[in-house]
Amino acid sequence: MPSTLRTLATIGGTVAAGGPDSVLLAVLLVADARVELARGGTPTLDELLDTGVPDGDLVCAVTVDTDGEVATAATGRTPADVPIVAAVARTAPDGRRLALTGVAARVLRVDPDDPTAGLDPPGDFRGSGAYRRHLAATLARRALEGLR
Amino acid sequence: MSATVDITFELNGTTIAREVAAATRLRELLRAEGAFSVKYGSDSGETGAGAVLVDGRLASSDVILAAQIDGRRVTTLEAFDTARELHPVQAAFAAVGAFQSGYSAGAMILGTIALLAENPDPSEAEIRDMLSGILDRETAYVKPVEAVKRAAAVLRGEDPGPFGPLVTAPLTDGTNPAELDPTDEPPVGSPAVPRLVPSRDVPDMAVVGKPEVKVDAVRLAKGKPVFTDDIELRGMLHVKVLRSPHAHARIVAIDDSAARALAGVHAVLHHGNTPRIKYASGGQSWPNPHPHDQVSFDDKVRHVGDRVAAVAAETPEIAEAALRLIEVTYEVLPAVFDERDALAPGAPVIHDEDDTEGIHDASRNIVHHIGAQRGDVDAALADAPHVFEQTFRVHQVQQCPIEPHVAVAWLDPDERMVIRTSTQVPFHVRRMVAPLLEMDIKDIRVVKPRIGGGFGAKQEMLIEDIVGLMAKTTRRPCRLELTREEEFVASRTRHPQTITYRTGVDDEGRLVAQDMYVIGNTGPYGTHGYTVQTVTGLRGLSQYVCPNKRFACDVVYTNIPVPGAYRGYGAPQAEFALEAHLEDIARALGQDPIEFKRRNWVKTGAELDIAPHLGERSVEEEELDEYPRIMSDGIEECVAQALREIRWHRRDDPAWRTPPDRPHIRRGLGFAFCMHGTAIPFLDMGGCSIKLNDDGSFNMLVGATDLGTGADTVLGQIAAEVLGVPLEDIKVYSSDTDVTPFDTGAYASSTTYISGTAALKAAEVVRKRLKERAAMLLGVDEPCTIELRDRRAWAPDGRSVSLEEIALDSLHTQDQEQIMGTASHVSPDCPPPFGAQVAEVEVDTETGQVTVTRLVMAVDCGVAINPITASGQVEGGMTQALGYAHCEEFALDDEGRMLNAAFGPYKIYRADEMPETVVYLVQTLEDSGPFGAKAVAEIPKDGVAPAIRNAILDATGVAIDELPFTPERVWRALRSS
Repeated sequence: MPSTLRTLATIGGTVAAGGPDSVLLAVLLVADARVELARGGTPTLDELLDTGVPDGDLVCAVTVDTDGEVATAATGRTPADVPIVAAVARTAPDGRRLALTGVAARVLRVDPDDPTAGLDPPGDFRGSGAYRRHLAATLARRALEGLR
Repeated sequence: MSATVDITFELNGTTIAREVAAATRLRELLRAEGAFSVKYGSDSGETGAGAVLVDGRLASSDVILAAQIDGRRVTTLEAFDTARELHPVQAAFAAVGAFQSGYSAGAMILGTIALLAENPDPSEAEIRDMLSGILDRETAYVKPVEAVKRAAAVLRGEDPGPFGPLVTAPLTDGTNPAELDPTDEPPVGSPAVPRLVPSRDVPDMAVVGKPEVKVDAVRLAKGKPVFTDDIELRGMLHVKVLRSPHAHARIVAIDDSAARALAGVHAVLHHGNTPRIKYASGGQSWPNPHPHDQVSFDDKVRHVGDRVAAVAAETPEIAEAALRLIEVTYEVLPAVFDERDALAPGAPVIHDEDDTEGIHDASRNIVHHIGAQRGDVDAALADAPHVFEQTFRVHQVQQCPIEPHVAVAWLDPDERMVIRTSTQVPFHVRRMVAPLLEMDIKDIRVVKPRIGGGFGAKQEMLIEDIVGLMAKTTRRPCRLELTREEEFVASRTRHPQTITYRTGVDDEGRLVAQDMYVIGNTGPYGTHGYTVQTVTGLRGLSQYVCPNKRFACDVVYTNIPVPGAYRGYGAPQAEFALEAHLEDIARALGQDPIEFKRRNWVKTGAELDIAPHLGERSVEEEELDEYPRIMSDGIEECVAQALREIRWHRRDDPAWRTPPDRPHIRRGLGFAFCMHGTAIPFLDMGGCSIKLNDDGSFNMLVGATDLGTGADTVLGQIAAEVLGVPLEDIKVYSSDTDVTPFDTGAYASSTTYISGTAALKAAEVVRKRLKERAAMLLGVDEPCTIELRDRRAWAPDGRSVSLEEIALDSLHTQDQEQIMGTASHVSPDCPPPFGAQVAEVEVDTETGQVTVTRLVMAVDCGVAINPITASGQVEGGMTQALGYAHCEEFALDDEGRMLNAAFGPYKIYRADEMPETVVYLVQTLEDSGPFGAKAVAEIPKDGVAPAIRNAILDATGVAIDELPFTPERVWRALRSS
C-alpha cells in the first residue's frame, strides 16, 4: 500500500464506511475477514457490508486469513487512481475467492466460476454500467489467471 | 456553542496548553499558533499542503482534530528556522529548483526529514511513495525527487556534486533535419536535469544562462509567512459566499433578516443592497473587452456556484451558519451546457437583461462572432485534389492551483483600501475593482505577496470586489478564501470547444487551404471568452504555411462553471485538433506524419500572416503591406533530439509494439509539433526600476507577478548580467501597486520577454550612469570604454573601482545623486517558441486503459535565462497537459451540478504514478528578446494531448478526436473500430 493515505483513513473506518470502490475491502473480503464489534457482534465482513455497522456500535478489530495467494487486476484513469473496477482473487484451502469493486453499491464477493452472474452495475462519470460489467468479466479473468 | 477540550501538546519543542473547540482542525490550531507554513489546500487532506509531523510521522493536519493531539509532539517547518543557514534538506530543495511557488514546501521538507530519519538511502519508489500524498501542480515531481536524493546523499556524508544542465551536442546544423540513427543513444543523466543544446550564436555569460538558485528559495524553504493568507489583522472578519444551487434561475426574493440577526454577523450583501455596476472579470488591459456582463451580486444566477450573497462574520463558522439562514426564492429556468445546444433554436437565453452592451446576439447566446481570413479559402478548397474534414471536441478542466483564491482587504489610516490578494494581475485588479467599490484608483492599493500557483485562474478580478465591499461596509479587515469545491465551481476553468477543420492538400502534400470553425463555450460570462478563442484561431492557423486560411468562431454562453484564462489560453485546444488532423491527413495520403508536417511547417523567415488579424489589437484591413516574420527557430534540432530521446525507431519494432508477455498491450509513440507566442504585441507592457545602494547592491522593483514561475529570479539575472554583479546583489521586490512600476501581469508568456526587457533597459540606464561616475573616479575620458564585471567598473588600462566605492561617492561625497533607472517595455514582436513533443503509451486493448509511460519535450525558447527554472516550467506544463489529455474532466449532472469537485474524483497526477519526463532546451538567439530569450511558460501545454492521441493511434490504429483519453472512451473507440 502506498503511504499516501497518511491519517486520512483507518481500516476500521473503511470497513464501517463500506465504500463501493474500496480495493482494501475487496482484499479483506477474499481474506475471509471477520469483524469484531464493540457490542459483541462478530459478523463476517461480507455480512457487515450488507447490514452496515449498527447505530452506536463500533468496529474494534478485523481478523483476516493470511494464507494462500492473492492476485489483483484493476482499471483506472491513471496508475494510482481509485480503480473504476478492481478484481481481487485468493486461493484459500477450500477453494478460490473473488471480490469485485465498482460494480454495485458495495464491494461484492462473487462466484469465481461465474463472476458476472446477476451483475447490473450502476454507472457514473468514470464508467457506465455496461463498461463496468465488461471490466468485471475481464478483470476477474485476469485476477484468477494471476493465481498460480 | 460547541464543546471545548483542554489539550496539552508540544509544538516545535515548546509545550502548549490550550482549550480548543471540539471541531477545530489541527491545521487551524497550528496556524492560529503562528505556524503559517501549514497550508490550506482542502479540508479533506488530499492535497497534502497541510501535512505536518505528529510524533515524527507525516500526518494530515486537515483531518486530525486539534483535540486528538493531546500529549503528542507536533513539528512544523518553523522548527527548522533556527539559523540563517538552511537545513540540508531545505538546501537540497532550493538547489535543484524543487519549489516553484513553494506553497507545499513545508509538507515536502517535513516528509523528507521523516523519511530520511528512518531510511537514509531510500529508493526512488520510496521517495515517490513519500511524496505521493502531496499534490504538486507545478513541478512534475521530478525536481522534488531529485532534491530528496541529494539531501539523502548530503546527510550520509556524500557530495552529490553540482546541479546544472546536461550540455548535449547538437544533432543538426540548426536548419536541416537530421538522419535518425537507431544506434545513437541519447545522453544519460537524471531526468531532473535539462538537456541543454547550446547554440554557437550565444556567448557565455556570467549570470544569464546559469542555474542560479531562485531568489525566493530561502524564504520558501523556511516556510516563512509570505503568502496572502499568512497575516494576522486585529478584528478581521471572515467572508463566506452563498452560491447558487441552480444552473439558471431568477432570484425572486432574498430574506436575510435571520442571517443579520445572528450574533457575530457584521454584514450580509446581495443584489438588494449592492450597486448594480457592470463589469467583465477577465484581468486584461484597459479597456476590458465587451460585454461587461457581470455585477457583484445579480438578481439572476447563471451556473451552479454563481454568487447569490455574502456574509462577513467574526468566525468562518458563524459566516457558514448565517449563509444557511438566508432564505432565497428562485424561479428556476431551463439551462444549457453544451455549446452546440446553446446555439440551437429555442435554447434558453442566458443573458436576457437589458443593461449589457456588446453581446453579438444575446437571443442566440452568441457573445462574439470572430472572423479572420487570408486568401480565398472557398476557391482553394474547391480546387484542392484532397480535402479533409474533421471535428474535435475538447472538454472542461480546472487550473487547480494548490493555493485557492484568497484575498484580504482593509481600510488603511488614510481611508484607502488595501487588498492583499493571490492574483496574477495586481494592476488590472486595482483598475477593475475601483468602480465596483465606487472608489478612485488612487485610493486603492493592491499587494501581491507570494502566490501558490495561478495558471491563469488568477488572471481575474474574481473575489477582490467582495472583500473590498465587505471591508467598506464593515470597516473591518475582511478575508475570503475559496474552498476547494468553490475553486472548482466558482473560479475559472478551461473553455470547452467544438473544433472543425477543413483542409485542402495538393498532390505534392502541401497545404493549400485551411478552414477552421470553432464553437467556444464561455459559460455564463464573457470574461476571457473573446481573447481565448482568438488565440485558438491564431494557434490553429499559424504553424503551417498555407496561402488560404480562414478562422470563424462563435463564442457562446452556457450554464457551466465559468471558463477563463488557463495556461495555454486557447492553444491546447487548437493544437490538439490541428496536430491530430494533420496526423490523420498524412496517414490518409500514405505519408510519414513527421515528413508531411515538416513539408508544411513554418521556418525562420516565414510570415505570421494571421496574427495581426486576431486579438485585442487586431487590424481591420484585409491585407497589410508587411507581416511580422519568424526571426529564429530551432525546430529541426528540437525534433531530432526528441526523436532520439524517445527512440522513435521502436515504432518499427513489432516485438516492442506488442510485448509477448502481455498480449493485450499495444505500445505506441506519438509526435506533435508545437508553436506558441511570446507576449501580446503592442499591448503587454512591463515596468522596472533599479536603484543603487551604499554597498554597490541594487533594489529592483518590478510590477511583474512571480506566481512561482521564477520570474523574480529571471528578471534579477538579467539585471545582474547588465550590472556586472552576482544575482545575490539584486534584491527583487514584486509587486505592489503603490510601490512597483506598472506591469500588465503574469500571462501570455510575457514576463521574461516583456518584463525582462524592461529590467534590461532599466539596468542599462543604471549602468550608463555607473560608467560615467566610474570614469570620473578613474580619470577616464570615455565612459563608454568602462566595463562592469565582478562588482567593479574597469577602465581599459586595467584599473578599476568597486561599485561600492561608486555608490559611496555618489551618495555621500561629491555631486551627490541617487543612481537609479526606470524603464518599461512593450514589443511590436511576438517571437514564437517552438517545440517537439513526443509521448510513449501502452494501451490495454481489452479495457481501454491508457498508460502514458514517457513524455519528452524539446523546446526552443531562445536563450533560457535560467535553465533550471525554464525546465521546471516545461516539466510542470507537460504534467498539467498530461492531466488534460488523460484523466482530468468536469463531470456535470443534468442539472449542471459538478459531480467531482474534489481531488480524487477530479484526478490530477501524483508523484508515484508519473511517467518519466525529459526536457531538452534547444538554444537559439532571438534578437528581439533579452539576451536572446523567448517564452517557455505555455508551450509545454500544447503538444501533450495530440502526442498521446497520436501514440494511441500508432499503438492501436484507432484515432480518437475527443478528450480526455479515459478508459471507457478509449474502449468504446477500440470496439467501434
